[in-house]
Amino acid sequence: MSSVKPPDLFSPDAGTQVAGAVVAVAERSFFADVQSCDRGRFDDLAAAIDDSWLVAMVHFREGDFAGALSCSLPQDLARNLLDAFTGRDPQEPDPDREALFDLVGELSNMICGTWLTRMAMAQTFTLSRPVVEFTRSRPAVGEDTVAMMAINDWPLLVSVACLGEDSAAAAAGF
Amino acid sequence: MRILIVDDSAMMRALIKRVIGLTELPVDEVVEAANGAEALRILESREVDLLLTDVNMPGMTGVELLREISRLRKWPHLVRVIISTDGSASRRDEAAELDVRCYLEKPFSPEVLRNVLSQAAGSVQS
Amino acid sequence: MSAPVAGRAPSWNAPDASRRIVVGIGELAVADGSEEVLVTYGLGSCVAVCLFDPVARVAAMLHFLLPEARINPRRATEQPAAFGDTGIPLLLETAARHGLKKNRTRVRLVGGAEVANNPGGPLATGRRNILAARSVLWRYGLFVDAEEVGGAAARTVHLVARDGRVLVFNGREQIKEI
Repeated sequence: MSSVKPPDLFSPDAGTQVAGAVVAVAERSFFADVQSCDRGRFDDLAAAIDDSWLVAMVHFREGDFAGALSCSLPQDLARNLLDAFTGRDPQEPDPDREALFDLVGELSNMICGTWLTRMAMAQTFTLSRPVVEFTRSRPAVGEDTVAMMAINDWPLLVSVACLGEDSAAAAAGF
Repeated sequence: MRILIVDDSAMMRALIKRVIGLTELPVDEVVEAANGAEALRILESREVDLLLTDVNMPGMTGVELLREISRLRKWPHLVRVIISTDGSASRRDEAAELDVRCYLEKPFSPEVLRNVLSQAAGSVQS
Repeated sequence: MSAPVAGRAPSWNAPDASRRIVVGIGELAVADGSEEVLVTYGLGSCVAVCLFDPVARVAAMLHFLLPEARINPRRATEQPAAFGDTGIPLLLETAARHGLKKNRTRVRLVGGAEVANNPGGPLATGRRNILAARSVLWRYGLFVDAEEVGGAAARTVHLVARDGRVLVFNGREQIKEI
């Protein structure tokens, strides 16, 4: 039996833990300036986006605790992070859609993995391959939202949904 | 030295390849695989000295790959490195049992990867 | 051992003041004479990027103030060394003209403190400067070999061209060699 207790995703601590994971990933692998922001700032940043968003979802299982973490960010931020990650020369041709999806998937993968590692240091976990899609809709701040961040002055929204064991397993193909 | 990078993210493989290229290590060849099964096919078909593998991958995971490598006993000199977001004590213990030389946790800075590569390369037998 | 500057207590391995090349805020300099020392003072939130090629014996230092030129494009045109994303490429280009080769170069970063008394400065400029330096260096294929960054205290840095040592001071007291 797992010793991992599902986190209370409604507690302020959950948001702090996820935000901490975002900061670690963004600074170390993407050299990005990242801060948590309040609803007002997030809405202002999101309102300024007149472009598509990318949403990446990663399913996870850690003992008996399973769920899905998703990251929503504007396409321009995805391009900015790709350039930083790869050290891309701006003179090179623009990255294609597949590269952007890969990058956003890896970003979400690292955020989820860092969060889970910090949450339960002893317990291993498994992650599904990230699923990434474009959307024209601004991401909704709702019950599943755990962190609103500003990365290089662009918005990033992180949501976590805890799923029942069967649906999580089915969704993740575990 | 011949290096095999195993990760389902092409971006991550490209990053690791770039760091390898920027080091002064004597690298003859760098090959890539997107999952454990593809990595095994490569190991069967060419010489590899250093394996860098992720853990969470579709199909055969990195741990399953390392277990299969241990079971087959065909590549006793292969130096094994895990590069993973999973930094849990359990996973690290598992890695130690699978003869993993270095364990690098994502996210990492380029310098940290460079240092791990240097350390691992020191174990490669000429 | 060099003679101390009159009136000051000697510090361990204090470089000879007469061969100092002072790098001011928003400036860069290259030393390819082995008896020179590049010095920059008062690194608060600013970052000093120190390069050393031990084969060509070229030392170069940049002292930049802000992370990105887009913060003040006009100033960036007049003084590109004031910004990380324009200053570092300029530093590399200038040092290369003196024989520095990137694949041999050791890179050290110093500074990026969050100083309390920073009137008019945006929040967390020190941290943003450190991130900008790392990002630009990575874009140019350079690893950061060592750093003495963050904290709250201002620093002074000496880069000794003879051997590439980077000496970090807090006031007159040498606190580190990196």
